[in-house]
Amino acid sequence: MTLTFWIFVGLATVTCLFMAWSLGANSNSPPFAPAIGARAVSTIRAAFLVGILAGVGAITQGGSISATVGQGLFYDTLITPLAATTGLLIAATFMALGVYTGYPVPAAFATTGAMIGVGLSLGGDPSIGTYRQIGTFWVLVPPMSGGIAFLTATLLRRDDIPETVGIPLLAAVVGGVLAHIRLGVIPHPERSQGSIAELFSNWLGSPHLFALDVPLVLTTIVFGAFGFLYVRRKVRASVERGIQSFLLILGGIVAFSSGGSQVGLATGPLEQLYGIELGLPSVFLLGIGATGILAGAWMGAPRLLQATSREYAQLGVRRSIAALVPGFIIAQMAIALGIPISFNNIIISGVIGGGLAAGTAGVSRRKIAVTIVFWLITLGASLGIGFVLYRLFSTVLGIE
Amino acid sequence: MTGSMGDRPGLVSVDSPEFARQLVRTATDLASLVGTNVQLASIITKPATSLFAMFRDEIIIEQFAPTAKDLTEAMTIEELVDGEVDHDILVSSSFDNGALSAIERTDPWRTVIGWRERRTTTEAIFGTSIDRIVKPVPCDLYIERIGYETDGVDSIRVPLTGVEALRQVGLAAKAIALPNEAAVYLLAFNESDRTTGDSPGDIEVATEMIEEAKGQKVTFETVIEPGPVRAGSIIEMAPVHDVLIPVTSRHGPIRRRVTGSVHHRVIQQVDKTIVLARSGTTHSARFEPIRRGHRRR
Repeated sequence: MTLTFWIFVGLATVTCLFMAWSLGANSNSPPFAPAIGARAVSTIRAAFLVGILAGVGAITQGGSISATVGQGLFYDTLITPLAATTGLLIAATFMALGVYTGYPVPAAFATTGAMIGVGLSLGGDPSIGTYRQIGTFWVLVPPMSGGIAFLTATLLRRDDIPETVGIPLLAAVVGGVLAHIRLGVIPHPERSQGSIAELFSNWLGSPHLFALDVPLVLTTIVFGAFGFLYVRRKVRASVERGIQSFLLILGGIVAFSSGGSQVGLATGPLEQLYGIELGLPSVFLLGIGATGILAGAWMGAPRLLQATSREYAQLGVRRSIAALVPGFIIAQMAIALGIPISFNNIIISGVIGGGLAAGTAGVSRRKIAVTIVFWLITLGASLGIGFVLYRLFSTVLGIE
Repeated sequence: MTGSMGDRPGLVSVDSPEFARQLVRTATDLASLVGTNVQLASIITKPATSLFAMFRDEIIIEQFAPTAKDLTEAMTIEELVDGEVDHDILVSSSFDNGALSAIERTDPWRTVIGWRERRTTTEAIFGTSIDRIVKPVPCDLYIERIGYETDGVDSIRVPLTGVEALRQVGLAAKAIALPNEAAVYLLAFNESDRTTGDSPGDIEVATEMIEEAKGQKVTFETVIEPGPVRAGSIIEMAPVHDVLIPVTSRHGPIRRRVTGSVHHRVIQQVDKTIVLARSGTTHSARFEPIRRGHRRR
């Protein structure tokens, strides 16, 4: 391995750390803002928890999206160190431009676009099926998130459903989904990540009844029942404290999910460099990403949390919960499918959906249109620049 | 720029109720001197990444801007702002974009904005909001360091460190000196090899401004230091004065910092009220089309 190779490894790793740091400072902290707004936790403690939970989420759940970004966008195409570095530099530059100009630049669009661009420039065979899957998911995120938030807010607003029932019901849903979240530490016979429900099912030999995997269903019910009973006991003792507890737990779970769904945007481009060229296990690369996220959350989150918690306090606990529930569910769906996503987009769609349940969304069509245009520009421009810049670097440096 | 000074108001843009009073006071001092109105602009910032950025401006102001009411109350201080006051609340993705939008709407003769020294990591890399405003502003600009408001002003120091914004610093010195009955002390450096002007010339322009501006005469004194501009001299003299009025002196193509190295050192070491002045005639329109498109978001 030449000096040039190691220079690229160093440059790519630093860029990966910067990306992860930026994600930790911006994307991972909002889930705790409602809990701060409801005075369930202090800002500093929340920032500390965000770092830890998002970091652990990154290591245990980040592998699937990281693999898609690094290996799933092309068939049998080796992403060279130069290509990985170019892709990451472009994605990081787009994120920096977003910070500098104030334009909405989603990391998921910038990274995916840049990696497709450099892959095409390498002469890779594009995995059209994966692109279709990613595109469909991106298009469905706003209605899915808005729809779940609308249903959640509607449930919480109904006068005939008391809070001692409504909040525990949501906790039951969250608990049920928790039984199915995929973690790298749980073995699975076919995948690198398994869920607790699958672990029990495999352990018991996957007995089926009426085409239903019985242990899978039972684990879901047990988790859901535990969530329901735990939160119900808290809410019955004190509605305010019960809601605070639920917001805190929900914030923690969503922060964990955000780490798992975001780290792949920083580590994905380096999957082949670290896994194939350096022969390191994927957890090593995820560890680098988790370190960046942890540092970003601890350094940058307090300021962001202070600002957003005031906004959430204005939004109210019902709409805050309504925004977080879809954040958790959709992030876990994305992790299960290995699809890179913008976490902020999910939460923003959730906030709008929750507003619709209150009678009016109050959103500006012009702002939405401008945002969508910038998302598309980010995707198209990162792809185009990735294609051209890799070719340029390759020609000038005389390497692939 | 259109119209004369008398037709156009003075603008003050603020995004935090905490420091509104300090900035409104400076803006009204300037307005009183030249006989113009003051336009107040409360900037509500919602970055593009904010969960609430998608809402309509009126919804943001009503529901998701906890500081809007406090800001409005803090800015319309009765003892400072007499008569008809136009107050505008703007929602923007950042303070600099909001302040630039306010300037575009108002077409002011001068703008007063605040400047915090504390920098986040991002600001250290990309520059602060104020750094981004300095260059494209098409009107005279006064940037007051916030958090260092003095109870009374007896003495004002004006270090003349170049040929730019001499009239602006002179005007600010007189505007602040008049209501406080304070004395103004000009400090110039006589650098023999200078080609763009010499110290006596600098002093003449600033002096003319102080003498010819409306209102009673103010006491002023001039000190000329031999040699090139030295931060050390300004810092040494600063403790006996209440207010310092330097010129914003640096602008690069990528990162436009508010101050050059001399004033950067002065600001770091001087624990006094500082009002930086910049002439609107020196702005560059190179990036204006891009910024215009940005501000309209």
